[in-house]
Amino acid sequence: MTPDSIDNFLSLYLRSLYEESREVKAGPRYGFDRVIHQIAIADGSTPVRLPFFRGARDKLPKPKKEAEHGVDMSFISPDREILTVFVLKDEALTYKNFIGEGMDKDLRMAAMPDLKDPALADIKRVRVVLGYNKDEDEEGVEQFELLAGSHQTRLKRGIRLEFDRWNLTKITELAKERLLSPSLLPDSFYNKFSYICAQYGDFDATSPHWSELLIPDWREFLDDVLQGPTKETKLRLVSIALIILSQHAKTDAKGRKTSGAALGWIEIVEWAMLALWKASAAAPKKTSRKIKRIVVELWFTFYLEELQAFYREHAQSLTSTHSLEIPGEELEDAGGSYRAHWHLGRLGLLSMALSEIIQSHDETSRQVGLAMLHEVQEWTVGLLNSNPSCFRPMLDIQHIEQFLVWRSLAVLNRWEDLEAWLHELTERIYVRYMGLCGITGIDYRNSWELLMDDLSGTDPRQSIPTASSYLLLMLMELCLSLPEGRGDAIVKSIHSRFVVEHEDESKRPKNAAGPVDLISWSPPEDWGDRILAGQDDGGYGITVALDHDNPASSLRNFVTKSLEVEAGKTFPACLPSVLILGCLRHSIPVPPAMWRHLRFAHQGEGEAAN
Amino acid sequence: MTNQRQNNTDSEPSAEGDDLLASLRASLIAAADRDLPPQNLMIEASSIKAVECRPELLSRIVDQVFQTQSSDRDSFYESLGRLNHILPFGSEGRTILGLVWQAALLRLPEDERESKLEEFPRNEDGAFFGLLEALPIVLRKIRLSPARALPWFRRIRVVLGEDLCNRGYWCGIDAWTETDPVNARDVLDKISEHFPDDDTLSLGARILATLRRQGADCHRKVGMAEIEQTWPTHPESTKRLLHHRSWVETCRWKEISDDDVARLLQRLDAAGPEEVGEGFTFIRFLLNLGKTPPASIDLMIKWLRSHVTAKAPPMWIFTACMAARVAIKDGAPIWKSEHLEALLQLVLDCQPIPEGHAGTWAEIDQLIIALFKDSTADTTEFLARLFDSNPGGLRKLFDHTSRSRSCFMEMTRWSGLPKLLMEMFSVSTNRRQLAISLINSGMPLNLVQSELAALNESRIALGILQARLDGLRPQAASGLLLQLLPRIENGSEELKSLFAEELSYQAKNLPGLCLEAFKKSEKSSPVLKAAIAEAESYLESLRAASASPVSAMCIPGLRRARVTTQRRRSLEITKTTKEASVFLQLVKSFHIIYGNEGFASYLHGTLSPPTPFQEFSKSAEMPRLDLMDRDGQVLRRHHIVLQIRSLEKRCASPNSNDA
Repeated sequence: MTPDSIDNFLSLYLRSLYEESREVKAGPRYGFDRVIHQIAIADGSTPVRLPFFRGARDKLPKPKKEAEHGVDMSFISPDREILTVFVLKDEALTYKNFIGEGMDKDLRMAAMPDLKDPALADIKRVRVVLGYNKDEDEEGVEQFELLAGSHQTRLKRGIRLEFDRWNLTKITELAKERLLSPSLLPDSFYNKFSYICAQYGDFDATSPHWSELLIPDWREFLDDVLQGPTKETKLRLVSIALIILSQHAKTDAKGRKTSGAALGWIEIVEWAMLALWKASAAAPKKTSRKIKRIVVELWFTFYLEELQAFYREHAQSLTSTHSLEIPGEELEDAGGSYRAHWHLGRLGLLSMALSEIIQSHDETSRQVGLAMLHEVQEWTVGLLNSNPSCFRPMLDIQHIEQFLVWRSLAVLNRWEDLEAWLHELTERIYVRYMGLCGITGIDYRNSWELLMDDLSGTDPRQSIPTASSYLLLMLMELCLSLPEGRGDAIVKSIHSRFVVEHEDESKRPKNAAGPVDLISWSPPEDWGDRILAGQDDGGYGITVALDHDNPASSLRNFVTKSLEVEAGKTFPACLPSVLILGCLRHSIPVPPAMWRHLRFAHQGEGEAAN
Repeated sequence: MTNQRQNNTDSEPSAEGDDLLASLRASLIAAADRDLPPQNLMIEASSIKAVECRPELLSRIVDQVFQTQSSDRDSFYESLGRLNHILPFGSEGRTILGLVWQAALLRLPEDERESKLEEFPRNEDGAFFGLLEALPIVLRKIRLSPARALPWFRRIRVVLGEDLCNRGYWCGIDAWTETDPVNARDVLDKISEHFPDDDTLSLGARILATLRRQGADCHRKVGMAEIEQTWPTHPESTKRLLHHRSWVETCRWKEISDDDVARLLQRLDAAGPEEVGEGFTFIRFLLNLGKTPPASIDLMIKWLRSHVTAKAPPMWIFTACMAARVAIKDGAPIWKSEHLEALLQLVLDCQPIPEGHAGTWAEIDQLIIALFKDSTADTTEFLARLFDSNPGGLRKLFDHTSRSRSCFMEMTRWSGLPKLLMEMFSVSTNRRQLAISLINSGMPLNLVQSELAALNESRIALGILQARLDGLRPQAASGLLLQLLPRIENGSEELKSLFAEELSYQAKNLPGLCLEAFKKSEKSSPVLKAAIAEAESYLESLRAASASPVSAMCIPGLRRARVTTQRRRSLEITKTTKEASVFLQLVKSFHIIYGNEGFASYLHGTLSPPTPFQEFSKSAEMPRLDLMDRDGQVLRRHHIVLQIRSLEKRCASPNSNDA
């Protein structure tokens, strides 16, 4: 994340705030009075007047119902000689607002402070500051200058009077300089977010503590922020929380970010993105376009750009041979598979998101997008070539990453590469099912903990269930996408090797697993929302028995029939890449519609890409 | 004091015997009064003679033995057992025991005597085996009716079980047969009239062999001529079996002529499998005696070859291998040169012998050692063919960790070894596998460069691919590749490319052993340099990757699973180590819980000074690539097999000069 983008998001957040924080019927309203208050406190100033009662823990402050006389809040400097009086307005400084919104009146009243208070006995200077978190125009500024120039410069006891104004830029600068901490967030989130920052800086990324403590807290925080009607401020608040959190990454003794921090950051952002997309889906119609635009902006800036920057920085390491394998460690077959599929998933997602950009931009953006797409694809191919564990799915849910590999190759019409990939992938899985290499088949329980437990036992082959597979059926369907029916032979090979029971069992190797049942899935109507919400898969499973003599034709027939049945279901409005992120994070299977739909769509896309 | 030496033992046997009586009395009383282990008496030959010559002395000893009882409940055999305890081991003690037992029985009325004898196999107080040794002496004077004798001997056999202390039993049968041949013949007839079990058959065969040993008078009395004439071809199989097996017994004491062997084996040729089995037993006994003339061995080998197959019972196969070993080891050089092919074929016919048949493999082990001393060409041929038929067994034979080191050590000194190792470039798969198997077992690798230079490229490629397929021992991989280097330098680009790929693979697979060896090598070959550079670049990239965040992720459940796996493996190693170590089985081991610098012990009231711990460890480099990509290795091997097949076809093609 660049300093400019931090300025931009900070400014957008501050701009979205109200004048004062308070609880209203429609929910919490976050004001920039809290920001001004925290900036003053950060300077070491002492509050003299505050317009609110500080709230209880995790509650917003309660506004005071008393005459303000133009003064929103005032602070005395650490040397007790300067009294700063703030007049806050969540309006733009225009001629109209200067008069109409009472800026002029409030400034004049604020310029006559009551200095009888013994605490103000040493005051030598009074600064009246007009703080506003919107834009300004020349006339507005002129009016302010006129007022400041025409007003007396001395008060009683010879105290000097000055006028100043803090516009959005000034407040942003000050906030960035002094307040890039949980204090920048509304009072109600301060404690929780402080704790999250502490955990983020303490736990090793993706460690058990991280997954069991930090991530649940972070998701709960996001839910709290985004609860109720979706508003711009809440979305901006998430972006600010991310910016602040990024400043708290775990460092080593030399102050450098630990090696896992980058991966941890990606996970943090992913959860935030899912929460934002979920909130955007729930936005009222009136504001939904605006909300979606903001979420897309955050999606690109915080997630896709970060992901791309990560891979650009580490592509060389990632694509060097055996970069993800740790030789000599126990259970590395599974360990390598986890790492490789993690990267395959993110690269595939990046590729998918880029191809979505290409579809919706002008020609220049299209060309830039295409160049980036090629770059991502080279990383994917490099990863596949250098790490054999990319071909070693251990859990059935890893079909998501395999689907993404297929998609990223298919989108650029790399059919020969796809054919080779499908061939090698199925060969390697077959070797495992035949018990020829000591690696078990694909566990359909989809739990790494259970898999690892069983792998550490005495007889993993007996304890790990592998007799049903969604992944294999998906691969068979993907084979159908190969041009000129070239995938039919692979479909037949998968079917005869994995599915068909051998007539002569004695010819099977001793440790071979039994035949596999092909399982498909018909998701429920609202599968898009369910994926974003992380609800369990729902829908119904389908057992698929193909014709032994011509499995490819039989499979085509099954796909056609399934498409007819699914025709009534609407494809979610959300970006497909976001849905895939939801599948990855919540371990929800990719609905078959994703590849059945793309199977027809990618042709045009690929042609365009070329 | 147990006895006193007398100078005039022959002239005054009485004094000698009296002394023995006194010593016996003292020892018996001491053994009865005190619950202490008895002290053995010293008995000289003259004392035994005195006991044999002086019935009254023997009678007094018997009185003494049966009067000196530690309790009133002492039985007949307990008293004899107590006597046995104080007598020395060996023939002297055995003779005295037998004489006392015999005399005690003779004192009894006939029916009581028989019932006492009946009690003997039921004797369960531990004296059975001690008394059994004295049985032949007893049976020299005690008569057993045929009706009682057979079940009695069989009961003794049952009590004996699989115990090898059975000398007294067999000698007892001999003694009884010699003493009472007519009754023995009756027993023999009884046995021959039924289908006896194997033990009873052996009993009958022993009686028959003992009768055969007797003089002409005895032969007349028992009708030996009729037995010898009719039983070998008798229609009743039991009689035939008894006769065949009796020859096994006979060859213990009689010099068997070539004619005897020929006759017996000829008769067995036409017989059923049970009798053929007798033939194997006969041959085994004969060979064990070590006096078999070459002509007989020749006959036996021929007979064995006509009866041995891989499906034959293990004992037949053992006999065949033993015969081959004896013939090769002890046969005259000229005879051997004529029959070597047949002998080796005999062993090959028995394959595959299971690896667990250690006795049979020990015979083959000795046979191969004998071959190493004699020839080279035949040995190479034989080993290759043996490997064809039983690769696992031969591999285990040369694995010095699993069997004796003798064969392994002999082979390392064998002059034909370099030539045999050159078989790794053979067109025959089995020969290549054998050579690689030998390299992997740790044989000194010294390829004959002149032969390598003459070999064509397809065969060199076959060798490289076979080594890749079978996998080379880490220590051997670098040695083999470096020795091949000069030949490759003069080879085609295709061969260089194949070799470079292998060099690079091994350098990455075993950076500790291979890459270091390549770097240390003085050969400045461009192929070698390129492989080193590639491997170093690969390792450097890996180091960079491991420091980057790409693999810095925790995997759910992995840490705990690793702990569980390591704990399970550690327990397995501890168990296996304990099972494999005789030392650990004998000595109690302790796990020191606290204190990591050393240990002391407090034993029998003494506290030892602390002894520092000593650490023993052995490390080995694991092949990285093979472990990292186990599924990929299977596919890789599959591709290599296809490459090898294609090369083999090329070599076998009539137009090819690669063969």
